[in-house]
Amino acid sequence: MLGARLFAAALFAAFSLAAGGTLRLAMSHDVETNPFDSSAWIALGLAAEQSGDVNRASEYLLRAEKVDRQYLPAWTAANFFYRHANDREFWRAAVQAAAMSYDDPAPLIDLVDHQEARAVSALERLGDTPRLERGYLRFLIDQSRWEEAREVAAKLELRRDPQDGELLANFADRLIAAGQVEASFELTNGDIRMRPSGHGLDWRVIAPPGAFRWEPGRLRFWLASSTPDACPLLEQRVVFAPGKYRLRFQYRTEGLAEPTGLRWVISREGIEEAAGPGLARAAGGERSADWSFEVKKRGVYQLQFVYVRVPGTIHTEGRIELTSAGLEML
Amino acid sequence: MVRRESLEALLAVMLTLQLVIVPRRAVAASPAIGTIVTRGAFRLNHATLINNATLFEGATIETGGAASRMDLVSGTRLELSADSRGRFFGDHLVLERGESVLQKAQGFRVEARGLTILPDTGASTGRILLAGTARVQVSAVTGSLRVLNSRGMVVAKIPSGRALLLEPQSSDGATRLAGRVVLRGGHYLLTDETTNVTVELAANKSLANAVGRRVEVTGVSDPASTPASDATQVIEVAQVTPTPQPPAAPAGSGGSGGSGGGAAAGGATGGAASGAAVSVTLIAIIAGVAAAAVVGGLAATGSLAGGAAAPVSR
Repeated sequence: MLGARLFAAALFAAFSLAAGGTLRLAMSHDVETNPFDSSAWIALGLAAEQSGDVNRASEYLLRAEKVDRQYLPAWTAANFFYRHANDREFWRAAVQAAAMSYDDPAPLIDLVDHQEARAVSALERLGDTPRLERGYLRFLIDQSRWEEAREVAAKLELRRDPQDGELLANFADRLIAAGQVEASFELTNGDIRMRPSGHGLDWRVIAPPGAFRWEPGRLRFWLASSTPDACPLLEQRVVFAPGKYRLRFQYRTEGLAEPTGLRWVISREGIEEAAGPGLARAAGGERSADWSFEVKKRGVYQLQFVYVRVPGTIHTEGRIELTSAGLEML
Repeated sequence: MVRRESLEALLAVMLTLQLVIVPRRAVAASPAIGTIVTRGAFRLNHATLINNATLFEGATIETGGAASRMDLVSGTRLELSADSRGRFFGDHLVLERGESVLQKAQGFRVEARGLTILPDTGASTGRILLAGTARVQVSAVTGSLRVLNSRGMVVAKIPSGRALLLEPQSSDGATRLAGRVVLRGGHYLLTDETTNVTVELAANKSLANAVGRRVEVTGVSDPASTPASDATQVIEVAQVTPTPQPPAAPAGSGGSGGSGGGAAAGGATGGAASGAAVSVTLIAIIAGVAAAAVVGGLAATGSLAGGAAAPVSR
């Protein structure tokens, strides 16, 4: 619509001459001609606000909302009522804007966050949709507000929507990277009943594609002549406190010769801190084994299950099946 | 996309994390510092918006094809030109790309590439442009503007109708100025013809012979010394060279003469992103900032379209 474009163009100029009023007069004439053009009402409202006429600004912006139920009038009104500390009208407009928002809700969330600092309360007042919860979680992660982010993440988790998996995974990774986790002394998903997600404190399979297979309760790895001499297969981030630990695990092998070249290692920031003994063959059935080690500094470590070809031997070929792993502090 | 069985595992992981999160207090909210209005779209803290928004302390604004106008609660009014980016605070703007126009800017400053630009009076209006990769072009439209280096020393006073191209140097104390030496209250003072900054000259030998003469002075600024009144800093003089009065530059034709050369000399030519013509020689270095007059003053910077050329510095 030509009028809308003209008014949009006039908006910026209106600010330049807000005190002068010449353009405001022109716009006033135009809204009389086309009273359903919300952009003109918005322009008039903002110009009136700049000239200090708050009552008239409020009137114009409410009129914009009335003639246009879309996002921009509601967004503009929410901003205006925030600036003028009108709590009731702010929330009314913010809720309307939230309902009409189809793009990135971050600016609205940012505005609302200034009005209501507690994310969960703000969400409840806004309407608490999955879309807003996702937006809020991203917003809180960006601000490193971990405790509130956890509360919002909990809401998303309850919905159990697969499309939230990536966001929640990123949240878990950010928490760990930020050191916002305490020593747990336990492995996650130790019975491997769930597919390793690769995020948070869960298992991350790093074996070459095609060289592993997960089934509930077991994780199989195939070793072949093409397997690199040193090849991490699986890892999990663990938050250790200083102390002595024991890793217990169960496995079986098929076709592997001694020495298998398989072992567990603990590393931190890419540096190996401790290495377990090589795994013995377990061809006759499932075998239990353990490895004790000591951690001297608190922090996030990688517990890795690796294959390293033993010098003087040829590549081992066969299959290793891991069925459980657990950690205990001694 | 995370698969359903992976999601199940993930949710279990999340559950674990929830139990061990270290609590931390929420960040306190900051108050609104003003409003932004744009004829079109802009980016606020990396999110795209149209038309208008409330500005909060530290907001990053990035304009697209249209300029944005900011009205701050302090009364300051400024504009961020098209294709520009800046971080806004209640009392200052950190200009990161493009150009900003200050209008009612009392008590407000603009930081750009280590320089601070602030109005001498509340009525000052000016334009600050990031030119090329290292320079800042400052134009005073009405009133005058002051420019400080990263240590807070005055490196330029730009009167109404004048524009300077400034470039911080690697040596932040280096100084080269030109002007007439005067003796006032036992202090040797020199007002640089380009930057309009008055300095006190300190030298091992007497500068009596230079009094009343036009000279070029090289040296280093001494931030530890307190300058005489009227001067903004003390310059430890290394060399004083008498120079003839440069011929008057024809209006709008650009700077003439000058024995410059050096860091910003050739580089100043055509260096402004706006395409403004600038003098071909290095005009001054003061407290580690090179300054060159923009030939044609504001007319060249586009601030006064069609206006008469402003006088050049030398």
